[in-house]
Amino acid sequence: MILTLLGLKATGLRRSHIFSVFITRTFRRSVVALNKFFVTILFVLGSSCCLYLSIQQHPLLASLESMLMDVTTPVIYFLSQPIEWLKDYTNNQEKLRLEIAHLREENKRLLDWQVLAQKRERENQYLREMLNVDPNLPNSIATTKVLGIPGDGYHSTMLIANTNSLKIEKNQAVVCPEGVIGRIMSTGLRTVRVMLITDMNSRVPVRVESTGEQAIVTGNNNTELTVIHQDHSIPEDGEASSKKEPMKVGDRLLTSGYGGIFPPGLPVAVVTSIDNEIITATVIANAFRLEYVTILKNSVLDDAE
Amino acid sequence: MVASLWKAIHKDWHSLQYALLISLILMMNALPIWGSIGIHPQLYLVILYFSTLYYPPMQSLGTICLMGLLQDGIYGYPLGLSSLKFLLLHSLLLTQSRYLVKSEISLSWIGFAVFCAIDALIQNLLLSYTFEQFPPFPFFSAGMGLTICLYPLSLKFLYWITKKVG
Repeated sequence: MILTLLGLKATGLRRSHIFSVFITRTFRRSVVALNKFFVTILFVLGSSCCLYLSIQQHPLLASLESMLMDVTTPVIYFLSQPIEWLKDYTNNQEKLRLEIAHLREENKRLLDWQVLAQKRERENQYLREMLNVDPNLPNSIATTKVLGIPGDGYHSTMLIANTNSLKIEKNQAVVCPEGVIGRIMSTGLRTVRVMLITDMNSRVPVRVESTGEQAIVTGNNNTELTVIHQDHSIPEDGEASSKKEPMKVGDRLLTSGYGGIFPPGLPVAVVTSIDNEIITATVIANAFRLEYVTILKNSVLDDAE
Repeated sequence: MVASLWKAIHKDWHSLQYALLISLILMMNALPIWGSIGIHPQLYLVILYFSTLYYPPMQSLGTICLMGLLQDGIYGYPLGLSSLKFLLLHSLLLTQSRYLVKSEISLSWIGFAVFCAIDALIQNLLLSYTFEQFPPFPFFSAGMGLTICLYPLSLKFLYWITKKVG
């Protein structure tokens, strides 16, 4: 009767359908919410179980864990590659910049060393040559550095270094591997002045290498020497002119040893011109190219002698 | 079989895109660069917060569980730890969604900060249960700070992505 009043009078099947529709419409939201709640609870419980089993090191979960790790690790690796590349690139740039700066500094240092090495090599070669200047030279020699060649057009002198240990004295011969340079003019504590054989006041007794003819050469304040006081002495047999050959261009002039300053046999000059009995010779040892010179100590004449 | 699979993929294409995006973000969160910086932002928290509040259709419980499992696999946590944490956070967020969803950005931001703090608390509790020791609770870590600071930007980015995804 109530169903009739409510207009729900129908067959059993129809009635149940209407009832379910009514219930669904009335409590739909609640049912959905309830459904969601239960599903959430289910998921939470599932996760908790999973966590528990994972803590207990269940073999299935352990294998799943390792599988996940195997899957995710390469992906993370590939994702990190651009960043790593960028990082490496910036690091390499910084490293390269530092390396370039370091190499530049090293290059500069090496260039300095190269200059020094070349200088040492030159010195070494020079000193070796100087040691072999002449095997017949006296034992007592001293090698010292050339400080300069002050020229004023009137004098040709050279300044060389001096120390107490060198014991340089006046009139000692100064030579180089090529030949004679000059003689000690004056000595100081730190420097020594050398009168070059090209000085106007210099006189060097020489002999012609080929003929043995004696002469004296004097300087002109340049690289040319003038032969003076050529030996024209006539021997007692009166056949001097027939036996002595005249000096010719290209003859080498060596020290004769007379005067006691220069030992005999050292190269001095080469005859370059003969004009109206004015014989000009060019010095063999160019003093302007020298860095070191040798002083022959024993060449000084003893005053007593 | 293949046709039905393609049909299923086509049907859930947006969800799949979303899941792939989250996976990518989760993996980006684990990149070594964060370790070298010393800050580990929790990017997934922003996504979870955004999806739960502003874009619920994309965020299903299954996705949350899967992402949790993926995170566990990445960081070597016991499986289920992150899933449980995310589910709890999701459920908690749902209860407060009516207050947060239509709020201003400032309130949403504050809500996110509280959300991050709760995440840290749950993480600590779960880790203490797992490793049987209570690690010091990070009331404010650099990663958390960065995540909170990046929230507005991340929100904007996620809106843009959501529009792109559809």
